[in-house]
Amino acid sequence: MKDWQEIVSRYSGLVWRTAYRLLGRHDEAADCFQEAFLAAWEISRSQKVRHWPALMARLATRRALDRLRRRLRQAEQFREMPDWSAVPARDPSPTDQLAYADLSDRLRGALGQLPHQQAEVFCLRCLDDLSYRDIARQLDLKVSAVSVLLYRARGRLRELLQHSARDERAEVEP
Amino acid sequence: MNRDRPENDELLERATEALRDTPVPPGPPEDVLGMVGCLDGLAHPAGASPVLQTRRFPMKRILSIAAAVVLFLGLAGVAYFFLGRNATVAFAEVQRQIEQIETMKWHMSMNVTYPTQPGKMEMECFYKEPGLLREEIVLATTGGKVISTVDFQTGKVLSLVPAQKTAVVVDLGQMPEVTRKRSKNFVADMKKTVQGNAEELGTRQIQGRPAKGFRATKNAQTMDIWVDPHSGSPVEIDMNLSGIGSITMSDFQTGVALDDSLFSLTVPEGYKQMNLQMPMGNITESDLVAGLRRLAEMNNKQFPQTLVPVADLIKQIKDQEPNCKGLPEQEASQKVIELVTPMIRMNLFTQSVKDFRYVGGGVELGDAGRIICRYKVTDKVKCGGAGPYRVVYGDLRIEDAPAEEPPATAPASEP
Repeated sequence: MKDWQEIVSRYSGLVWRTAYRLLGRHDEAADCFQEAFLAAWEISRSQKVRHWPALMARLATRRALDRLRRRLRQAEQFREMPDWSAVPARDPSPTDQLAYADLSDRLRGALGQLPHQQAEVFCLRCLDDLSYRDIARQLDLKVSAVSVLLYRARGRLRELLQHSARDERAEVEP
Repeated sequence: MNRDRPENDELLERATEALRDTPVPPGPPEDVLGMVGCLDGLAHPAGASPVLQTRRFPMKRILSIAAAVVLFLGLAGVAYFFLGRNATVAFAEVQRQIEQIETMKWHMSMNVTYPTQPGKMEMECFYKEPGLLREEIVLATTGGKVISTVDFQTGKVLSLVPAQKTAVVVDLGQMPEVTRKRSKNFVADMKKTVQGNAEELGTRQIQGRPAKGFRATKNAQTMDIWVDPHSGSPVEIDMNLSGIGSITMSDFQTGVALDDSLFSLTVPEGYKQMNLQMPMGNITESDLVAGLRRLAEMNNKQFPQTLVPVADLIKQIKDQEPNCKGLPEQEASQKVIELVTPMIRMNLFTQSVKDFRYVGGGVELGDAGRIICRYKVTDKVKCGGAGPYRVVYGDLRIEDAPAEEPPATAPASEP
């Protein structure tokens, strides 16, 4: 194993970014960060790690998705609570600020409803920009299987996003 | 099929872009990074994994009234999570036992994980019908205690600080209806909670013994109840306080004899009494504005990433400590009350409207072009404008959202 401190130092930004982006909460991202590095440390003790960035991206994504699912099981709870954990906006247009944050939330919600492997493949490809080959290695799949999973994930996400948009429109119409 | 429609492709692309470009604050926290960095240096038996410490920070000393205020909010939070539920047949025995509670003693651990002011509160709780609650809070750093007694029927709260021989009296009757409802007799609300559906969570070991879990969820509440697999009596109850932290209740003893004196609201002899005025009636939009302004001012004229009243209250109170030095205790406490009142009133406002959403993180106070939050008007609080949605901007002006385009409910390009 390489020097552990060096690994932590080199990949802490990647893990933090991956975790926070998916979770949108500081406290949960911090827990996810710890879990991902602990898992990486355990793996590195038993086998040689060939591609650290891909491993760290996968571990952070998996842990974050686990938490996202747990959170979504409590979806009703969050619906009625004041939204303490809203994601900060980035767009200069006021309406878009909210629309953007809302879109992120809706995609998080949809990802939490996908089969685990589909969600993982989608995140690694579309958020972390990993190649099909790296994803296949990390998840112990064939490249063709990655393509299929990604195709299915996109299809399901489109449906889920469309449904959530329709539900929300119905909710606000008189 | 929907997936073939080009607008759905565009929606997914925009959502992916929004998620990918989510602003990420600096992190992780130094202590978390430090713990992770130390992994390789930990001594551990072969095959065993080190257990990362739970992030735990010593709570700074806070004024006695702070404990009372925070306690009340904690109580309201707990009550909120216990409101109304349904149940299944598998849950029947647990339901029966909870419904029959007349007296109960338990341990409660409240873990605030909000990054600016994390901390842990441990308390012993006692409950007796009809609606009497006693909480004995142990302060993490000093080991001192704050004892709080609530009579939910009369709305009276007595908080005692034995080390300082100080008694704080608060009248919940001054609180608006929404708060009274949520802070009313939460064990009774817990009894309602278990009357509905519950999902099985399997089993896990708690204190070396197997426990069977159920997750009760309805509307805004989720509660994980772990029970003895044979008797069905509660062993542990876990609740998540959204974005703030979590509560774990354990060591339940039901049907124990609890003397009435435990729930006495009489100030003990030798204690100095403080009656605190917390004006909590007539909540309006201006309370939201005042609270937001206070939050931004505390945060270098920038709105914080999240609205977390409990943690910010603690911070405010801590910051106020030097200003209170040398003042008579009653005066110092009233000063703290005045300081935190806008925050509490803002919190009450957010609880009283619907669909409240905060997106003000990082926005400068005074920025007229950025939205801080939006909400749907209800009849519980007074709001201006024609509604139904209202939007608050960075300069703290409030406007109606255009009726044809309620903010944050649909992407801009949706028809």
